[in-house]
Amino acid sequence: MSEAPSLSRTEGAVAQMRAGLEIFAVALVLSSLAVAALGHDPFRMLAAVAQGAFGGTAEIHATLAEAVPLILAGLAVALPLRLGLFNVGAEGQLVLGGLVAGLVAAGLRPEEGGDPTSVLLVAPICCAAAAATGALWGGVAGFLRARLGVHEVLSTILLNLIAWPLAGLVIRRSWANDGGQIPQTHEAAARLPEVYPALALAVVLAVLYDAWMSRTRGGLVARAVGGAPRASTVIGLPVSRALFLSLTVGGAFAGLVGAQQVLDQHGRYVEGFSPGFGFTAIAVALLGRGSGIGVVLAAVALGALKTGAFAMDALQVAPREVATIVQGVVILTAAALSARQFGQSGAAA
Amino acid sequence: MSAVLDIAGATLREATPLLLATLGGVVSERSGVINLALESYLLAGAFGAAAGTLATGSLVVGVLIGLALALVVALAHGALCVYTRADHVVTGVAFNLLVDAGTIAALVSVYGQKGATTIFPADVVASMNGARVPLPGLGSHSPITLLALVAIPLTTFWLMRTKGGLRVRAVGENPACAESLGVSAARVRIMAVGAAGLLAGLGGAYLALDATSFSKHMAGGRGYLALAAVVIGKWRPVWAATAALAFAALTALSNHLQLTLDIPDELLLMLPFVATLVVLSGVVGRARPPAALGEPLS
Repeated sequence: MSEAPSLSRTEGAVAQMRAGLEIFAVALVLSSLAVAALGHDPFRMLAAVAQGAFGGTAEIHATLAEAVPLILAGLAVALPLRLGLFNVGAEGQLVLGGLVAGLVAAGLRPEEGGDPTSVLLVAPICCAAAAATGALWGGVAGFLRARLGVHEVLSTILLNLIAWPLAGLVIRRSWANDGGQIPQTHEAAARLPEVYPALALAVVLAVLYDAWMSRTRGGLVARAVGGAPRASTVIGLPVSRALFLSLTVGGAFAGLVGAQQVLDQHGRYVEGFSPGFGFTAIAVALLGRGSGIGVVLAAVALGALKTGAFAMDALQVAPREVATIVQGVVILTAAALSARQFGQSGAAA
Repeated sequence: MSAVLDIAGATLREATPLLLATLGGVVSERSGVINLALESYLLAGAFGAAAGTLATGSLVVGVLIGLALALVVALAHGALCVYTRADHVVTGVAFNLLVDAGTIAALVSVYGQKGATTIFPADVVASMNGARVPLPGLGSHSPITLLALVAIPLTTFWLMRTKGGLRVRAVGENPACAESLGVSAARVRIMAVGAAGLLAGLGGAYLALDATSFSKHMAGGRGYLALAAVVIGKWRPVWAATAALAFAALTALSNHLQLTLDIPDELLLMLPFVATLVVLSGVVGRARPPAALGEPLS
């Protein structure tokens, strides 16, 4: 324990921001070197990325569309992280959340010739179903961790590896399968207008998360468990319950990504809809230092990187996987620079 | 009877990469470094072996290049864990992302396609088939499979009965105490992670040779299964290897059943991971990891 985690309310927002920027800057330099080593021109690449991410209204729109799932998935990683747990399972949670949202959205379609179902009805039901599914999948990891001591990293990875084929199994044999080349559900009963409603929801959730963490009794328990797990046990805090709940609620955040993708991006569940949101979310949470506002900023930064990388790929400057390489470097830089800022509730891995 | 022997033969093939990664995981974790990056070592070994074989036309050189690449990845991971006090779990996950994306980017740069390398030329495949070793009743196997089997007693002996192995275990239990006796904990940990890289890298090379090419995401979660085998085997090499063999047998059995019964493939894909999760839940509470596992060196 080199750096005691702060239990204060403000937690030095400026210092947090500076730390995040530091990580981002170092990661950018390191990944430029990596890109140069792969034989691409890092300056041309940076210019192409910036142009592709912020060059105009359409580009900014695309960047925000990429940022929304990353905010929600980032919260799914950030919340358990504040308790010293590492949720690698957001990907599986959001895939299953999307599957259930897609099935529900298809199921809410009216009979032939009936009135169209209102989006005001479809959206909340889909969100609730997706969040519940994500919470269930995260809750399995939470239960295993809190009750049986199974390290959450191993269990969430295994749950990801189970979620992918499980989703495939369900969609291929479902009544809602519309028989397309890529397995997908029938069209949703209603769609949200693109990006902005979901963006508003994600930002509100991030702000509420921060307020809860810094101003409520539950948030205090969470921070205590993360900062001093043994002391928390000794003074009688419900540590097991807190660990279980953090992974469960984290799973609910991740599940919402699925609903958002169904309702505003694709209009249905499409197999393989996630390009790895749940893994980028790890970089988002670490870069955002586990805070809600930090997560929002980090999600926009990494979303911009992603959109920029696609533009760069289209211009044949460098392959888009460079974006994933940068994410990896961001995670490593964050780990190396801010070693052990979060609590350790050590168990076997 | 022949079905049983078929399954046993298939088990050995499935087990090869898993066994090697598991033994690597045991060595690394006994030194105190949590190893979630086994998946990336497997991928690096597979990519290096395929690219090396395609470039030189020699399987031996290809495998050596695979080992070298996996070693480089492992040493970078080890150095980060030892010298920066970075969280082992976080760095492990990051390495898996990095190497996965790195191999895809390299596929694009070198072969102009994202999915896979080209297939090995016919003469290389022929020489590979020529090098296969027949086992009585179990079909013919790659020499790497035999190496994996031999590695079980060798790793056990080295870890439990030699000075080097004792140092690894000492650093994993109490690095400060080992330091006070003149052992460099940092060096021991880095070398242990390097050994894990070589073992898992060989497993990865096997994957590429078996498929006569490299394709993306080739490790397919085996690195994570290997880590689960380490935990289920309670960090003891023979038990961890037994767990790895059991996973392999389960996979071989379910593949066999798929041919005879009409079971959805997705169910079979899930099976080893579900089984792992269930066994893990039953075992973990009673296992004791190395005392300094995941602890940074002061």
